[in-house]
Amino acid sequence: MTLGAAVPLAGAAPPWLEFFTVGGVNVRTVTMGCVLIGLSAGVLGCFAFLRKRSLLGDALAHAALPGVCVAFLLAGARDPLIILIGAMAACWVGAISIDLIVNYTRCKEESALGMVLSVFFGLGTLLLTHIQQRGGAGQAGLDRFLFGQAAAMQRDDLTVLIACSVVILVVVAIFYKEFKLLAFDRQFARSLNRPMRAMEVLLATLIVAAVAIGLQAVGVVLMAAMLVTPAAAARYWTHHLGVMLLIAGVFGALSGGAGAYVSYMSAGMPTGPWMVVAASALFGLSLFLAPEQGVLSRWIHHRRFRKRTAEENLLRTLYRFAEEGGPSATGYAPADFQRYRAMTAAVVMKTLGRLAGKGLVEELPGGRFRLTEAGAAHAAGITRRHRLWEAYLSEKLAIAPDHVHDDAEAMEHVLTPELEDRLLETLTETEHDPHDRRIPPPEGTESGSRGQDKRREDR
Amino acid sequence: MSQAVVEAENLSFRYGEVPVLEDVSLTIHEDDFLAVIGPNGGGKTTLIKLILGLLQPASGRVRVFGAAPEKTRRHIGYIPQYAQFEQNFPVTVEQVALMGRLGHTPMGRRYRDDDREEARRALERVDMAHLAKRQIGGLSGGERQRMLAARALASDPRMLVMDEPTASVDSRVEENFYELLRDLNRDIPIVLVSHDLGFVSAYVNRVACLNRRLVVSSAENVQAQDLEAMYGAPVKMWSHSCEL
Repeated sequence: MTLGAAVPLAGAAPPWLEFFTVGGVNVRTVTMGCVLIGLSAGVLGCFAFLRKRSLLGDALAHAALPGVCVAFLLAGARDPLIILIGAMAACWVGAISIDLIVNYTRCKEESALGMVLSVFFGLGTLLLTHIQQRGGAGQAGLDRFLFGQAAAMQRDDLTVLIACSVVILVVVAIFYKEFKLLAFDRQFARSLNRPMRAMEVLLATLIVAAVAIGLQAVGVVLMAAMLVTPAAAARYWTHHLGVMLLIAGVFGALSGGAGAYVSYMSAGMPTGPWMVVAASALFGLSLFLAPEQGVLSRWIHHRRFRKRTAEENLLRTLYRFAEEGGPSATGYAPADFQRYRAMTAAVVMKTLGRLAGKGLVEELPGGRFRLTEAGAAHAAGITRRHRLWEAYLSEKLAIAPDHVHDDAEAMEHVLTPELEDRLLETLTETEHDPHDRRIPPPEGTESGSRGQDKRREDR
Repeated sequence: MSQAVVEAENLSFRYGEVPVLEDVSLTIHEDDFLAVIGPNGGGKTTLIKLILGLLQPASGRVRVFGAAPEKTRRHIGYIPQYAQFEQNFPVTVEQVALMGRLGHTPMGRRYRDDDREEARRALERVDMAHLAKRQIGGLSGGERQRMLAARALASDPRMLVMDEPTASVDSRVEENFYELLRDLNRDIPIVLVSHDLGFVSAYVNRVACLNRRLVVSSAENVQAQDLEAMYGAPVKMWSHSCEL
């Protein structure tokens, strides 16, 4: 009966391949079931996640257990539809209890969630023990609702599952714009001339349904993870809700497939934990690899910024050298920079190498460096931003001249051309900084200016 | 005399045993810019909910544009406190403005091109069109405020109603926002709930002081002593403890 019982026959495909090829009715049933569970939980989970009600899924899943048991006791057998109805009913009772506790007692929502979760789960465990002690036909498999056992899934389970998933996904597609507004701003939604309360109930019902259909395969203990993890992972990849639903659905489906696969490969392995492991792995990947918001991308971005900062610092130092000693035909050695900049010799060399590659400095014989024409223009731009900011701090915020340098040291790298223009408009003194050094004028405003400000070009 | 848009007569409302509004009568005219001020729990939000038809009065009646409020809700542009939504929600400024069209689009139907056009015009009116494609997470407090105003305007409202619109922005942003409202007030009446009379009185033309009962005066005539007499406490005490 269990999936893992597949033993390779002579000449047949090995079991890891068999999963994908021959399969067998049961394997297909289980895999498809898990994929659908992951898909609907992933999609619906986005709404719970974005409304910051992730814990609600956990409370609801645990609250379902007594419903499952009562449905079993009433029906006298494991009828998937009746058990689903029982689970959903118990979820609803749980959800309403949470609302009542929040509205009529001094408890906050998190306490209410905790109370409902533990009380309902305790009650469910009690009933489960009762059923198991009583024995009798068909009770086997009920305890799998705790940690989930997809292998126990039957044909009729799948029928219910498919029907529910299709309804869930179709309803989300129809009422996408209503659900989006509800998740975003409930207060405003209620002010519209539309039955938004009914929409709220509908959305909550869909979330309950998505939880309930997953209980058998994933288990009450872990179902919440299938609701939240794909949504949390999907958020890293996009800024568009529709795309987020899609990605979360795909992540959920992949996790479901992975859980079914592991369950198939080793007998008796519970499906739920493996689905959750797969979902968590996808979350981990998203956390690190997602463009823009991922850790790796931020790290690269940060590194680039540090490199640019180092380059600009050296350019400005070269500008100072030129300003103080006039143009130097012999250039400057790396050690000269270290007198002004807290950089190691290696970093100075690397940075100068990059600047030379960009044509902003040139290397002279003897390992000495000087600004090229393009470099001089670029350095003047950075110096201008630095000194304009100093002038601004001094003139507008009345900060003492000896306190303005450190702040300008940071601002020179981030001031945008727009802000620079605003500074020029605002300030009365734009010729000299508070240390009475000349502020280099913008490009093209004096005869001496050379070439284009590289940085402006880049923007 | 300009036309009445809201007529409330002898309104009373209670939450269970607790009376919130008693015998409140109020008429709002077409050219009004009315501030409703009062202490916490004084019934300001309840009054707004009655005007929006979200609550039914225990006694008395409200007419909005000459009809029952729940029928005219679509003509009211509502601006809630912005602090109440998730700042990191994956949505652009444009999409938020489009949400204002939801009351004009059948349930379960997608927004149409003229809805998008309407949303774009609303963004232009509040000077936010250049930020249409931005994620809301990157907006400043003042920009977020304008976006919510655009969402309300996108429904082509005949009146604007707002609840503590500037509760969480600094005073310079607040000033800019009230100037925008004053411009909008040339076309439509505006009702706002506020805790800060001092600031609001420079922009509104009428003030309604609400603490279960209501006293309406023109903006110039509100005196600190009147308020003190009404609330039985120095004005500063409530104006600083008042929040929704």
